[in-house]
Amino acid sequence: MALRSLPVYLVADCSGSMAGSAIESVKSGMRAAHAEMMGDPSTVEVAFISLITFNDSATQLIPLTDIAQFNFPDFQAGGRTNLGAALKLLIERMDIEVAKNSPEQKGDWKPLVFLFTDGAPTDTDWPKYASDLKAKRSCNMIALAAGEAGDSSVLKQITETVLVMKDMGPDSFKAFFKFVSQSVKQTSQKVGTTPGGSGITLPPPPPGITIVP
Amino acid sequence: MSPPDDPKAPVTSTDKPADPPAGAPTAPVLKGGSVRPTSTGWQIKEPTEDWAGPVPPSKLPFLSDFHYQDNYQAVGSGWADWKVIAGTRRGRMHANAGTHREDAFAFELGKDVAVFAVCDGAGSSKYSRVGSEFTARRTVSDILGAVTKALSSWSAGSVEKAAGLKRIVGDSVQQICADLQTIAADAHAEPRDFRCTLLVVIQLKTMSGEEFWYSQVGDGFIGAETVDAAERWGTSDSGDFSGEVGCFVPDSEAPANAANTLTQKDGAGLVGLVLASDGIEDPFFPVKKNVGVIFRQLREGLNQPLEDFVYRDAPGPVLTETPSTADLAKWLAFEKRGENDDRTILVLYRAKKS
Repeated sequence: MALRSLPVYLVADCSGSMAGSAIESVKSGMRAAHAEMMGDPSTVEVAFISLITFNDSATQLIPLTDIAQFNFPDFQAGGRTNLGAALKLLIERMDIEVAKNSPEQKGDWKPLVFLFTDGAPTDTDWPKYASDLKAKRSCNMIALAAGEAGDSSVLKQITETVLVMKDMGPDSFKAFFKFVSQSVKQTSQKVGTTPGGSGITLPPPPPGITIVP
Repeated sequence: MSPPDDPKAPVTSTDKPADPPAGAPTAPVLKGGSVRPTSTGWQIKEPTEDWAGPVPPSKLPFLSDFHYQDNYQAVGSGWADWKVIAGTRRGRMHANAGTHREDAFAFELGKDVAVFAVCDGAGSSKYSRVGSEFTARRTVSDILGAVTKALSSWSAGSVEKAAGLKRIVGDSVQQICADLQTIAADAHAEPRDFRCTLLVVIQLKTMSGEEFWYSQVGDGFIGAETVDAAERWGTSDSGDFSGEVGCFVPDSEAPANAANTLTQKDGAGLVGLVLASDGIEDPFFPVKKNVGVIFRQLREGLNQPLEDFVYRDAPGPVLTETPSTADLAKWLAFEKRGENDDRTILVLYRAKKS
């Protein structure tokens, strides 16, 4: 029988507005989160991570990979905010990379997706893919609207769990990625029998990050 | 039943967790061609919460002789040459987090009726350990009592027997759900905080031999062994992804679910029956294919593990004339990457297959 994984997708906005210290903070925050997750045996055994970035288009920089084998690539910010391309690619990759239950194979755990963006989408297709993603109920998504231009109302159309982080300083990103690592660890530690269709229990968000009701 | 915590139980033994202390080197003696070893750094922590949590002790009559243990086994003897052995083991996930085992089993062996149950507390429910222990014990006790009382009024193979058993199972689960709802209210908790799965098998002595009735709410599996074959009975309630279950005890659909899935099997040729939680079902998936492997390992001892399984201490035969609780404990201690849930197995068997 194949290994069952907890797929974790990081979907990062790398548009021009993220250039400079913000994108560097994202990269260092991701590395810190990875290091923290590697300290938890439950997470090491089940978590597989993928990194998708988007600006004018969307790219899966790292396919779903065993957390112990995961090396963060370098990436730069620039271009616009094609959220629709990111959601489309996310749906496609999850269809390919995540195993569902079948008579012959036990499926993976329900994927965790962390999407963060600091601005409004510049494409017109995103509502279609947002609707598709919500209808498929194929993941537990946590979306972060970062900075003053982050639009939580857009993200609410993709997922029920939306966070807002007004400040985009290094400490804020550090806190957000700590929240990401804690969420993955907590989910890894609680994999087991759960009511179908139920969401996940997240740790409380850190100071400076609020949950949109 | 031989309650594992009852000092009067005929044979009961306990084992220490087989996991080594944190940081200790691992020395597996049997590996099933594992290319993905399990990670290191697991710890064994005592549960920190009180087992019953906020539930008033008066609501849990079995508490007077119940002492929570991470791992335990129990054995019993049925009529003819039937033997029973059962074991449950706290998963590494719970040991590492310092939380209780949430699986439970129970069985009661009467003169003409025997009842067996395995329950698995939902991981997302705060007091599912209480729900599963309560449900397992009450299920076997209630059903044994009701069936024993009704048995003489049913003729062999009668329609009224099938209807009567369905009613008894449905009523039993209905009453358990109602009691758990009362317990939840008294504990200032929600009924969903006590959610658990339920596997139940009723063994009946008949004029011509014996017959079995099984029912399932949630996941886990029931499997049967004949002299030359093994098969799964029933199906798991599961969603698109691992661990997703649609209905638990004490959800409102549970009584109907339990009654409607009640299915009869003839006992002719049967030499073994297993009930197991998803902590066994998942690593041995697909069970339809591997239920025979499970019986073989338990009968013969472990010579060749399945791929990706690692054993620190090779279990010998479990299903012998004198059931081996020590070997069952070793068998339950297998390691497989990502499979760290509680494990519970109950086996009814004839020591001689012929």
